[in-house]
Amino acid sequence: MSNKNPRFSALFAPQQILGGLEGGRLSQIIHRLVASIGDIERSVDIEGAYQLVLGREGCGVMLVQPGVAVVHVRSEGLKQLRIALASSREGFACSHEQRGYECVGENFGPVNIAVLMMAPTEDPAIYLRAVAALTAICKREGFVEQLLGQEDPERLWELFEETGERLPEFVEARHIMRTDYSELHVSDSLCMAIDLFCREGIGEYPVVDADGDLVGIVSEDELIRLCLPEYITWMEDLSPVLNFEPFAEILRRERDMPVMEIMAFTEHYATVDESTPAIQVAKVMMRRDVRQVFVVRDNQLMGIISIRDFIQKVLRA
Amino acid sequence: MSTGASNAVMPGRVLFARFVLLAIISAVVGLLTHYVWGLNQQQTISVTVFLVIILSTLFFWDFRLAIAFIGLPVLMLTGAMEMECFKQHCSLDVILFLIGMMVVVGGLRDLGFFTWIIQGILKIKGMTGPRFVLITAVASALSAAAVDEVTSILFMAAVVFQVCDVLKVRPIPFLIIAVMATNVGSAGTMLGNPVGILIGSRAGLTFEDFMVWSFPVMLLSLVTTVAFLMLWYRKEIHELSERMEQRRGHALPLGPTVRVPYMKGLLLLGGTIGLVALHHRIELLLGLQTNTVLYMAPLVSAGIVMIWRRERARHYIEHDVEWWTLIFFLMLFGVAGTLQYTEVTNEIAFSLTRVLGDQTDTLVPAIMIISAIGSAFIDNVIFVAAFIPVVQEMVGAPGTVHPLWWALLFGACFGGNITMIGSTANIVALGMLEKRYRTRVNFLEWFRVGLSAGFVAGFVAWLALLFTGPLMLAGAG
Repeated sequence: MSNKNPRFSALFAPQQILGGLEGGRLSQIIHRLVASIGDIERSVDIEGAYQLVLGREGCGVMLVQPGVAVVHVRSEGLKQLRIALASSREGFACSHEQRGYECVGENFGPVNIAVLMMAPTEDPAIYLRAVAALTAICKREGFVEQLLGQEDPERLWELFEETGERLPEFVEARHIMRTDYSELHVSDSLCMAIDLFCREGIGEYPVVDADGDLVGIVSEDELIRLCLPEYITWMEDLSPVLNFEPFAEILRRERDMPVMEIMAFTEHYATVDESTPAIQVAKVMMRRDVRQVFVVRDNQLMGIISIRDFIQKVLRA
Repeated sequence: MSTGASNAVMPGRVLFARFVLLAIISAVVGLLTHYVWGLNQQQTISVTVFLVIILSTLFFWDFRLAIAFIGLPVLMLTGAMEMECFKQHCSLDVILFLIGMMVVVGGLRDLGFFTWIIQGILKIKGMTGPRFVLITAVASALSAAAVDEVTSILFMAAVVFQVCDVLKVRPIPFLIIAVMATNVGSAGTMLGNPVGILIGSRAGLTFEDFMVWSFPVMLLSLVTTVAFLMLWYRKEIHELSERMEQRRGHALPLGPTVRVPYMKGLLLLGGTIGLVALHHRIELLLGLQTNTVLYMAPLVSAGIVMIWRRERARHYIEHDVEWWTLIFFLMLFGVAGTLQYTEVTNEIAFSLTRVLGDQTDTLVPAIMIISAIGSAFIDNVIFVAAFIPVVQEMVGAPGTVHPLWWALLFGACFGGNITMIGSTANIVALGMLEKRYRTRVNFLEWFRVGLSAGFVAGFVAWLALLFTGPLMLAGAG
């Protein structure tokens, strides 16, 4: 086995698997999973790690596939990544009322497979690499159903082992990109873009054509610049624009004006391939001074990585 | 002009390599001037220090002022210059003129004058690609002649960006056209370029001299330059026409426009230019020294602006006046005086006339070519400051309208078109382009069109000087 990219199954043993549970609250299951890791890592402060998981607001649970949730925590004293998992046909309830658990992902339903990853603080990427491997495994046809059909921890572990899936050597763009984003189409009206800005509070959106190819972006900055161009802002005397006069044209035409009118082209945004190392994505963001990068495959938009994703998935997670 | 690259972000290795290159070139030239050309020790020091300052603007743009600060004491301590000489050559009159104009420009911007001009262009009915290019080029040239090249390109670039943004076309060709027209237009009057006021100041030329001998040549050069550029960028202009046609089909304007109270700005500019234009008449009427009113006119306008808009007066002085550039000019003009003080300029003038002869017909193209090439790669103000005493040696007494002065002016202004670092307007425009579109113009892309455009404008100016030169000399005689 390569040290650089170990098998996913080598990160846990059957003792860290709770198979065929009857359901219950996810928070309770997580507590049991933390305890199972504590059995082999005596130096870990189990209660402290559990409280840390509960303390996570907004990013406590990540869905890698519908029904497969990952909870992650970093712990001092750990020498290597530890994984524990639980499965249930009935599913674990994500307790929204409990502070600290807010489920991330648009297709969130009951969690059938809960995976806890405890990572050493010294290795910022190991968790993301493990998530990448787990995602690849869960995407295999029928794999999740197979898991749910088994209760014996030994057999469950063997199912993972049989996949032979290894951790990637480094985190790539596709491992951290978000795929649940809003997008605009070239034929959409400016009115729809304005609605999107107001509804979601995000500063810029990708614009795609009929083939799903990324053709530009629409940003709040550009919208404001369209209404109030630089040459109007030069005047010290505001009386000609005191009642937003330059905005009148936009208001008159927002329903029939296509987003193309305010779309910025390639020089205003950054794109990377799916296989670009994640650290290269961060470098692109810094160099280009952009807050998000679009992940493309042959110009087809595949996902978005924002600075917030980095903070959430690398620093916070 | 400068490399435009910030030395602050340059790796230490590159900085060191440039420093070594600068030291080697300066030392070699210094030794050659001493042992081959036969200059004495003081002359060698003044040439070497001045060369270091020139090269530092090329290699260490960010440190140019610091190097000028150090260069002056070196000249003083080695006896290659005296404080009196510095005071005599630092052209405080030119610096005051530029301060006044910068405050006036700040006032014009606040008063919506530039907004009014831009809106005027955007509102023109039936706009086509060629018409847009013609209008922006003429407006760039005339506004450069009326205020200054940097102000002109600042607001003309805003027009180009606005139109190119709404029509989704590549702005670079249209920005290049506007910048090149600005550079050509800056030769039209004393206001257009610091080079113009510097030549006018040292040669004792008046605004009227510029209007008679320079402005018409500028117009001729502008027409040919714009015609050439329209031919060069015909595909892009055709594309612009198509997009404008489509936009007109949807009854869409090129940008929002508002009612602008422009009259105050127009009055301010008109008053300033009027005072500058009539300076010679007023001086004659009041029996004042030549160009006294010329230098004081922008200061009077600036003073009025600062009283009128007293709440913004501090802003105009602190933010609209480019102190960094002006202090550099002041130091540079003074330091350039060392060449005259140590009589190096006599030696250069003597060598030039020995090689080229003393016929004006030969010297005009030679001065034009030398100043064009020099200005393409180093700051044209530096080059002209160094070259003025040489031309003075050739021309004789100040106050003489001589073709060589115009050759120096046209060479320095039109030469700015040759490279993307050839003039301040180029650097400002490219900076705006980079900030807005995060794109750069390729050096060769500019050089190909710039060299040709510079040649076209220079050729026309040379032809014009062939005809007007004898008239000037006859008038002087």
